[in-house]
Amino acid sequence: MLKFIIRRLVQAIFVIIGVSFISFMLLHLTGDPVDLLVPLDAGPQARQEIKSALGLDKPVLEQYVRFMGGVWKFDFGRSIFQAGKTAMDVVSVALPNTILLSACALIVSLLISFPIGIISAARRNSFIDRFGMIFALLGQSIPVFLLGTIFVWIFAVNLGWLPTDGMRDSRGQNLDDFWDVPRHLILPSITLGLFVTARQVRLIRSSMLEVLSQDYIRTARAKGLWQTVVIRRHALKNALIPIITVLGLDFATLLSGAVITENIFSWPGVGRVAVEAINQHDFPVVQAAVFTVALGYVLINLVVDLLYAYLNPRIRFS
Amino acid sequence: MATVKRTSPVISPPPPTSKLAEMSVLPRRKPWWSRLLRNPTALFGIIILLIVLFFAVFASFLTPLDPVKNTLSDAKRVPFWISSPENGLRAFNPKNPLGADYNGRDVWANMVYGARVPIIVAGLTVLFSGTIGVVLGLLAGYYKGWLDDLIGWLSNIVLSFPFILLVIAVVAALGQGITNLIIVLSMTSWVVYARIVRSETLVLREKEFVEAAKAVGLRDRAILFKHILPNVVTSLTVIGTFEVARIIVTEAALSYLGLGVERTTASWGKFLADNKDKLTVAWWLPLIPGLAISLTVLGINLVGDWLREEFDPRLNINS
Repeated sequence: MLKFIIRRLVQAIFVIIGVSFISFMLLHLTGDPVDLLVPLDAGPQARQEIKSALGLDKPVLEQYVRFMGGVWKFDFGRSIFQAGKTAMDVVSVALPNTILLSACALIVSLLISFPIGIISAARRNSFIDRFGMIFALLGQSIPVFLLGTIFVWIFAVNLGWLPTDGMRDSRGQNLDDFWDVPRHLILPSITLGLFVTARQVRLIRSSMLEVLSQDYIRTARAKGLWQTVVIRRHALKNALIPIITVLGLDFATLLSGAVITENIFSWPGVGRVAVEAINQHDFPVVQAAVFTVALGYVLINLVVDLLYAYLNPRIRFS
Repeated sequence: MATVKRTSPVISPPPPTSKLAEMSVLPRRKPWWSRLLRNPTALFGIIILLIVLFFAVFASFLTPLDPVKNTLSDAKRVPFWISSPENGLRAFNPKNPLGADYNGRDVWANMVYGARVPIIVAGLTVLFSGTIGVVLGLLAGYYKGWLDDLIGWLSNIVLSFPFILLVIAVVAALGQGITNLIIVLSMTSWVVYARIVRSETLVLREKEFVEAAKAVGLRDRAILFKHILPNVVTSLTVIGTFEVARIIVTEAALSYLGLGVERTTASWGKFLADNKDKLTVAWWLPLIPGLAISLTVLGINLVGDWLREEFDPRLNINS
């Protein structure tokens, strides 16, 4: 177990180094990063000044070492567009909002996928099973931006039940209202949650079906145990192991989906900050956003792997 | 979901000449096209894909109009099913069967020409990323050791980035356009192939036929590409199909964010994005392209499910 943890930690560190290298290289893809960093109307002298101020006239390797020196302190330089703020300031304000949205979306998706997946497996080829599979197929086929647009149309524009976008009431009237943020959270988290629900339903169903065909389930049934007891105590526990790994992967999918969802609903998260920064050519902010989210993903995967090792006795006791 | 009936209900009597058939316990499997005809969902998927392909190939015969040209005199035309337009929309004109958007771009022309982008982008991306992934997967699985570690490290790095954020950042740095889109998507999509090919190669390399090929003195390259690769093609076909669906959605999403294809190229995702705020007055403007994307992806998923059942009967237990 200890050996597994150490190997996994070393692996994570190497991946983070690679991630930082790609974040660094993003700026150099075009050949001359100065083009991305200066205003279009800047003269040659201003370009030169910016170049030497940011150390871009030095060799690339030296620049990378310098960049890495900053990365350890989450220092990606100053934001070009937002005066007086560092790139990390901009990202760290948005990060909790993205985590809030992704967590709510994960809860929404689990609340839907677990019941449908388990019932589909337990009552195979029943009405619920067929409904669940059609639901999963449609969910996989409708892109998240279309779903979001339709939800806004129905629930915000036509019915007027929920706000169309943002995180708080833009008129600033409801500052003391506790339900202001949750109200704004409903549509984005359902949209984002459904994005991963389809795959989860399929996975939970097939994982349950596999477990249900095992001998020990037949034994449990032969003992005369109730169906619910067999499902809950014998089957679900064993089916959970592969599901947990995929939940980690789903969180990454959610972070990707969040980029689009945040832009549909103007949710002030990292994805929206990143797309805005790209449009404004604010590259330090882009680097900070990409690196932070990737780092978060590496850490989540590390935790999931360790949890998996703990839950799986075959690894725990080896 | 309907599953293919694998066995015929009536066991046909074996022809008397064949000894082998007499001994066979299993009823004979029907040919693939016969099974396909009994599978309505797969047929539906194939028909959708054929229509999309037809649109893409014969776009210029299906409409005389230029999909990206603004014809302001045709702006806000309603589609054929609306007889009395409201909210300042213009009356139907047979020239624009599905109407035109606020810039006077014909909806029908955008739908048929728009079918080209997903086919080109997804087709080439799957081809390139598949090739990269297969080669890396074969190398990692066959040679193991440091090469396997290196390729595993590379794939972990690629997987660590929120896919769409990385694509957006690279497109923003390189600039928009179909070529850049294909490059970026290929560089970030090879991991799934590499992983599958690696794990299958790890098993195959221990098999007798590989041992035999080695004993005969074949070179590694011949063993990898002539003996191991043909054995992983079926899994690759299935993954490739689902990847096509994923790439189409990604392209549409990028176009939705304004980072996909150029302004001068017709694209479903871009047409949807350009018209998303018209939902309240002219719901068909964003929903028609949305439906086109969803149906195409649905068609691919149905075909992918069918291929998976065809190629790997074992999977039928779980799907």
